[in-house]
Amino acid sequence: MSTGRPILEVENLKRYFDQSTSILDTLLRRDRERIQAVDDVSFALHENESVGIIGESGCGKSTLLETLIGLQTPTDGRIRYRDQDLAEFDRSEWKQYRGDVQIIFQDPFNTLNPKMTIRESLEEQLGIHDMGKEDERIHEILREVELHPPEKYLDRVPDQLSGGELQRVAIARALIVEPKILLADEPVSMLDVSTQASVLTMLADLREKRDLSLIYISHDLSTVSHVCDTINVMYLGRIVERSETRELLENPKHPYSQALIQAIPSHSLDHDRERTKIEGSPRDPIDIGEGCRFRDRCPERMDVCEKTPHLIESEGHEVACHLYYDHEEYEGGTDEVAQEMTGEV
Amino acid sequence: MSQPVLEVSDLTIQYSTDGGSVTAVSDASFTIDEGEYFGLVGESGCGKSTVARAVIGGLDDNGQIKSGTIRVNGEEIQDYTTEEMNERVRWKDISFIPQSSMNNLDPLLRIEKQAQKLADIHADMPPEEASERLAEMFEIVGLSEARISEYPHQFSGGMQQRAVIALALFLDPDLIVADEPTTALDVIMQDQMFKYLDKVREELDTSMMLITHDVSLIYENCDKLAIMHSGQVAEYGYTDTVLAEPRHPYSIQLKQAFPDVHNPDKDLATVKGSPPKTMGEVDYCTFVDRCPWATEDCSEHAPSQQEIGDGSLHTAACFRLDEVYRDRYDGEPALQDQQNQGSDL
Repeated sequence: MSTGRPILEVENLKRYFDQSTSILDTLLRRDRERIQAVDDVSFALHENESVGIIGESGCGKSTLLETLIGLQTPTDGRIRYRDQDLAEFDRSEWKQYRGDVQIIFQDPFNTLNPKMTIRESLEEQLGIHDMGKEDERIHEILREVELHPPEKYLDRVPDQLSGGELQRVAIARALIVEPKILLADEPVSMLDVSTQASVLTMLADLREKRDLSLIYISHDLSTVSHVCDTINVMYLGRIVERSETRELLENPKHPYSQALIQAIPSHSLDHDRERTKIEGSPRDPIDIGEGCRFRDRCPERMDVCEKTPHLIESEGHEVACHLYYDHEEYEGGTDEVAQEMTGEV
Repeated sequence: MSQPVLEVSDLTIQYSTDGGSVTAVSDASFTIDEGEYFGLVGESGCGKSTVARAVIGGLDDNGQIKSGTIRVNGEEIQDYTTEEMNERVRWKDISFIPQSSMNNLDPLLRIEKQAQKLADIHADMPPEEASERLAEMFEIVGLSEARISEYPHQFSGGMQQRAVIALALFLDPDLIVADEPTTALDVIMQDQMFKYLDKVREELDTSMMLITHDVSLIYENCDKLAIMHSGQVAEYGYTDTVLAEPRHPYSIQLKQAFPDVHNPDKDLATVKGSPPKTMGEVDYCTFVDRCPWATEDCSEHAPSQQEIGDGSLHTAACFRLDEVYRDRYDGEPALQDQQNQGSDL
């Protein structure tokens, strides 16, 4: 799996947004409130690896993706592509990067130009990235995304295709420029289950065949687990747990990951599930300051949770939770805390 | 057994459009008994929401019930005018929880006032009694009684959703129709909502019609279900029996297509093609173009519900049930199925 230097590396990435302020706020010199959409996120993507990022709506996963592709400027932190910082890119390097890194969006109905035929959409993409517009290339890619026969689709406009077919075209358009990294933002959440499965399977096959690295973002753990090697769990702008997929599903460590997995309804007959014990909903990530962000809903809450936990190694997982801290080692914490720990773990 | 709360027989609904009349529902039949939770599942466009709207008398202007009956507590309501529906059925007999229920509260009225208005119009209930009833329902859905006099904007999204459930319950309807009540919610919020619905079920004997595209929600929450494909009920019966051993080709494939978070290695099946446009009279099986077992017969006649004969009221609309069963289950009934029959009877 992961060997050598990562192809994409994210280091302490932050993306804050300013709340809109009224003239009164300005006159009174009130401090601007900051929405901490992505706060101190680090991870690495290696070649041929597929990394999943899951979390509820509002956890910052889409902002993270937009920052990776350069649609948002990081407030702080670094993104490195093949050891080169995105912040230092010049024009041509950006162009190269945007060819190498392609994105598939959630809503296939609005990502394609409604007035362009499928052929025109694909040719436009090739034109932008200075690649030849040979028919062979276009036919080939449509066959790869299982739109048979290509001739049937080439001269149609998006209106004439179903949701599943449109998402295949969107994937074809991303792959036709031979990217190294594919970013997928909830690519199947708007599709019906019957089509969802086929797009998921196809995505997994294509990744293998084309040596792609994939970052897959979703709120739906059950689809992520079919595509990704590792999963990052995000909560209110921070990654709270990271682990190999199966390990995370079977043995989640962070109380939030546990709650998230436990809350998914099951349709296997022998699975008897209890309802979630988590109350309330995530708060707004506005100036939330220190401390674990899940602490107000966490069933395991302790005093020490007022301090921000960092990701630490624990039995093959990386988890940001005080339950797994040896506080003396990491924080030089008090005996009291250490005692509490031994009781809990 | 007492008479069913809702009895839908041979219901056919058409929408008139510029391109001719579209048959959204054809010959659909099912019953919901007292206290029963009933699930209606299918892909988008299969007609499940149309059925729900017909039941509450809220079809769009171009929609029309062509044939069949809808009986609520024995009384035929399909020909009721809006006034009659308001006077006799809505809120008192049947209430409705829509998809984005957060947008279904009047932002300018306190929740209490909204309840009093409904009580006055639909049940001639004095305001004091209405407030009292609402407070009781607030308790059940986990909201503090004191908050009945607040405005919707003072509630979070999840709380608004619960307030909508409280309103749906407070005139003690026999049936609640819930159209994708949790689709807009994250899994943890979804599970919270069903936790409250569990409590409703414990404390009141209200029946529920749950419309969703998510089989696992039905599996966990409903006693009985109907699986719809392009306006036709493909399969119908007790949840345990149907999902243990689905018989209709569509149900079999749909079950296979669902990604399961507890089984990430499951091979996902795909239901090929997409649902047909059902124009005019539907005298064929709407699944014929997608069905691996289809014969000429299937495109010449519409199949009627066949009893499976497993001792429960399990039926499926397919001409080739025996062949499908032989191919799919290799002639040996699954052990699971026999066990479940026992518990259903």
